[in-house]
Amino acid sequence: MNCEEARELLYEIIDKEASEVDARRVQEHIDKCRECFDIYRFEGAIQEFITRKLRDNRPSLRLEVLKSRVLAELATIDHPRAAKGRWPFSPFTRSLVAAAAAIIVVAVFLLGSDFVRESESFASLTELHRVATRTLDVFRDVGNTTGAIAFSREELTYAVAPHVSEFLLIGGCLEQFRGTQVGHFVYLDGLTTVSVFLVPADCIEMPPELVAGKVERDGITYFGHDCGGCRLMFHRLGSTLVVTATTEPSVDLVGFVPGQGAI
Amino acid sequence: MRNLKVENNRKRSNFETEALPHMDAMLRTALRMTKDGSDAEDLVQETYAKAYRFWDKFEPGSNCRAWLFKIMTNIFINEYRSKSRSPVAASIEDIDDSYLYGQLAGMESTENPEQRLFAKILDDDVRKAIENLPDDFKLVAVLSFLEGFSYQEIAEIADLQLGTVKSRMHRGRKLLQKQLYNYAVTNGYIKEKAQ
Ligand SMILES: [Zn+2]
Repeated sequence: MNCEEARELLYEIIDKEASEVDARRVQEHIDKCRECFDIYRFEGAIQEFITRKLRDNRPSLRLEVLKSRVLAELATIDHPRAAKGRWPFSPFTRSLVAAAAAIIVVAVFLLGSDFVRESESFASLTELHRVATRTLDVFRDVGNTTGAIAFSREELTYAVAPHVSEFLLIGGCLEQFRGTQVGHFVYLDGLTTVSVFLVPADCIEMPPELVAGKVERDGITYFGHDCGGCRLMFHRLGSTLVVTATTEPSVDLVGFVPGQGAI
Repeated sequence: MRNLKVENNRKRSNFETEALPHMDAMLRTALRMTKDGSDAEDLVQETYAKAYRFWDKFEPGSNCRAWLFKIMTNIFINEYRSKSRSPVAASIEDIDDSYLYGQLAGMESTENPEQRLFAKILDDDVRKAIENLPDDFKLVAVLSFLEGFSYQEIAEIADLQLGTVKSRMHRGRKLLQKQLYNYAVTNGYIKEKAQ
């Protein structure tokens, strides 16, 4: 083998695509030829460098959120025609639902990441809002909503209220987080939205920051949490953990606790 | 009705076991291909939805990862590929093989000319250099460098002739090396070689 032939096979060797015979012949050549040896060594090192730099990525919250989006979509593929039809809302209302997306994702993040461990990532919320708008079809689906209400009643012994003071239930769905089924409902009043999440309480450990900030009121314990302009309230109702979320400061989230204003 | 439900559950759990574990690889490739986080997520979600719909077409025991990448590549080419053709492709033939080596080899007689380059080049430079490749080259480069697919697998995933994969890999590499060199010069990591 001469130098020209050896150079010809350079990238096939580096990509491990060359035949054994070729690989052996190249090896024999570069053992004797300093110049070809240098090129092979250099190109091999560059390749290894590029691959390492490209692969170097941290596991991200982004993946967690994406996983939940995908699982939600799979569920709608499984039950597409069971209750065909959309929740009957005007386009105007629908655009408001998009506003709810922000809250949805904030809370989803908390659930999906053992609550607050990676809360510094909230800085990238703008990006995440768009993620959530993709799932809004899931909420508008009547089948999803009735299914989620039934699940909440039977499995979580929680009666989902059709309205809470001025807030109307827009829709709901079931989501999967870390192997746990979570009920998720969205309420709307004017321009304000509230998301309610129902989680089996024994599946989730309350983060110490929240426990520390707890408030007792009328015999119920509330856990307040502020992040990125979003307010969350956690309270335990028997074996169900209820998480209420809104971006509107004036909303009294206490009203979303059954027996505290909910009808 | 009950049977249908059982059937559905089996399909679902099958899919979750076989297909979902590849999501991080899919997302990492999608991020490099689209440059945009939201697009990448949309692309992966669309891929999974489509894969699930066509799950009965998947042959059990065959390579699920390659099958998923084929679906994703298809969607990428049809829906996400940037519409404007990069003009850079025309000048590839002017770039020598082993371009970087040629540029660095003549510099002060260091034993390993790549070492000072590696020490200075940032992760972001490498990502940018890949992301700025024209889509055709980027696709094969990402499938090979990042995911370790063989030329033959790439040919099947991207629906290309084996020879086309080879030549795109070759030309993609040239562009990539040229870009890395340009970054290194622009950022002052190395001095441009006197012509
Ligand atoms: Zn030689």
